[in-house]
Amino acid sequence: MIYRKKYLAVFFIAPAFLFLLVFVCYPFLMNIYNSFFEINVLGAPIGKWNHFENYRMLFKDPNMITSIKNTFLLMALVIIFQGGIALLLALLVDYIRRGAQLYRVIFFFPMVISAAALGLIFNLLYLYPDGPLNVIMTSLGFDPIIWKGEGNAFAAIAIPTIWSNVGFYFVIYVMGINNIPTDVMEAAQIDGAVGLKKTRYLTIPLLYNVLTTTFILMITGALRVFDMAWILLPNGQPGGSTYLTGTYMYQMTFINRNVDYGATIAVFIVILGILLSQLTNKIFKPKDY
Amino acid sequence: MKKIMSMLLVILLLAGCASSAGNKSGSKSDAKKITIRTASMYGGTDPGSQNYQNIMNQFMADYPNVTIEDESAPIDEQWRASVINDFNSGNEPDVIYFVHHADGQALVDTGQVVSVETIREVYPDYAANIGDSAMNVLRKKDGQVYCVPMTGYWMGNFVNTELFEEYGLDLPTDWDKLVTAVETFKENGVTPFALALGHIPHFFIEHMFLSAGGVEALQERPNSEEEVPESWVKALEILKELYDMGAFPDDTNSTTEEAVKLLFNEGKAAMLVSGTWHPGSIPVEDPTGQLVTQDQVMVMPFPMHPDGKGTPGIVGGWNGGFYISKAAWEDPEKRDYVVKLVQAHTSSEAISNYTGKDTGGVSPDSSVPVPEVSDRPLVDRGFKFWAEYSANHADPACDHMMSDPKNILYQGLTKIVTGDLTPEELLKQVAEKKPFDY
Repeated sequence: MIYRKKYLAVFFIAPAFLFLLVFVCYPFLMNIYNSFFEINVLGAPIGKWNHFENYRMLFKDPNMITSIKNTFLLMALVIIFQGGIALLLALLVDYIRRGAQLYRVIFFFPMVISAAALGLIFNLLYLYPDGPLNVIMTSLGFDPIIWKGEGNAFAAIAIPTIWSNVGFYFVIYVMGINNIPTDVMEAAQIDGAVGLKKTRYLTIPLLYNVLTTTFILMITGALRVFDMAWILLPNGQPGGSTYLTGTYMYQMTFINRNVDYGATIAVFIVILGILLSQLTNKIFKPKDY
Repeated sequence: MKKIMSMLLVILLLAGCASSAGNKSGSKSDAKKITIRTASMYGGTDPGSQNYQNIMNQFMADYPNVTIEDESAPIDEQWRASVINDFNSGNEPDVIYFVHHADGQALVDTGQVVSVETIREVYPDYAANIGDSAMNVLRKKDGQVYCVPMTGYWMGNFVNTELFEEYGLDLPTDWDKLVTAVETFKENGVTPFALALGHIPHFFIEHMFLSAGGVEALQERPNSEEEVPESWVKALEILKELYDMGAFPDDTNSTTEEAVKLLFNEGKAAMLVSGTWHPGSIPVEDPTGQLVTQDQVMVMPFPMHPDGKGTPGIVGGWNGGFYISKAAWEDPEKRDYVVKLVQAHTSSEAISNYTGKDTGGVSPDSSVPVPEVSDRPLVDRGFKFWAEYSANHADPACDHMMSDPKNILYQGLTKIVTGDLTPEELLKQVAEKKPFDY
């Protein structure tokens, strides 16, 4: 009977809907509006109409192009390595009979440390010329490396970013594997599907929907990478070569105070996120089993 | 039992009500409780922080009804932006110690700060001890002054004299000596200049302008590509010249200011371009023998480049000052207290403490004598440095720039030294943003 009284459903949904309207929809619409005007200081009155100048600049600005390239590269690395390592670990843990719980805790552990703390730890590891990594290098007879210098800087951001989130996807995959019906697995085992064959022909295909969901999470997650990158190499150091779309938007809005251009980048990030997640959904359509 | 409990609860309830009513009537009879929100650049390890906090504590002791909620933070671009944002959005502090150049103008443009002239109509002695020379520098577009300074600064080339002696080098009083020093230090594994070019190039770039075009270069205000002075192009060429000579740390494009300061303070770098805020971080004595001490450090002007033109000089000026918000000024309960608070920070005694203790800073109050600091050799040298060279000084050119072009310049410097951008290309990008058009 309760389902016939629509007003009750509306009553309970309304607060969340209002929250969404006030704190997500309104700011986003205002953000689009702001991107068409000149604003030099956050909170300052809106200036004059900028004749789509920000949108023209978006694809001419070399830093923006760098940030888009870096974001796509990070996205690819995240899917390949973050997803790949997490899946591999989940499959391996699935094979072992003793200590699986311990491994789950160990692999998930980086997730409970804040990105800020991890950033500081990696900053210390990367110190030149006498940080821990360089001490190892010199003790092995190599010259110390400027880990955050030109050529290495992007990897210096990508490695901890990927490593720190492996645990999240690992847990999702473990849950996915655990949800595969045991009777299917047992039937396959009777038919001789064990070891790699079981993984190749059963586990991975049956994880398809989970993999699709995690792809979308990884893609949108890569668009939101900010804290680790900013702590490790602020201002796109060195020379703007490590900007991601998120860090460049922050740089423009809060450091350069080019607020209208920052708003334009934010609009671009949202559109890119929607397009990419739609594309992923199209390519990897969920399957019914 | 239930009845007894109920009666007890009623009695407790009534007693509570009576007590709270008593408090309310009591607070009405006491002096009004006032909360003053303040903010300043005295966060972190700034040598003036302790003095700032002492004055705040003394003020609260003198006026027990006043509570000060202070939100000081180390100055950086994000903090500057957040302050202006707060003033724009009606979340401003009552009193703030803030910069005065381009960002000071942005603060004034919010219309939420009150001018010194307005305050003087009610408090004629307000900032009376501050000299006209300082006040005139702080005058804004509308001809009014909005902040009261209590200390000024200078910048210079801090030189580790012990390292220069160790390698038999002359102090870098001219360009040739500087080049010889850079080459010798580089050959011997000592970092010539402690500079984090990718993080805080602010002080070094001003000295490149000086080296290329004298104090006149610091006073240039180009607002278009055509107006970019030759001296600024030359300044960026000199920066690249020094980089190519190996004058900076190997990781200068990606290291931090904190890391390079440590290089200098531990005697691993021979020179550091910094300012009045640095002497306080160098110890007078170091029993561990691991740190450079004040007697080993000299401060001197950055030498002119052989192709440089203009008047040699130094970088220096007024940091900014104390602003009072319009809201606090118009609040009859707060007005007197905020004025007294600013006066507590800008009295002759306070200025003496701000400028004298650890900084070698510049006093805007001529009645404040140069303090006796012979026990702190570098602070003493700082006072002498200012006395000797202040006749030709100018404040940093970049402080007058709006935020966007200024940061484009700072962020482009690493591309200049790596050859990814030419000085002309970078300065064109900066000038196109009309950096001084505000």
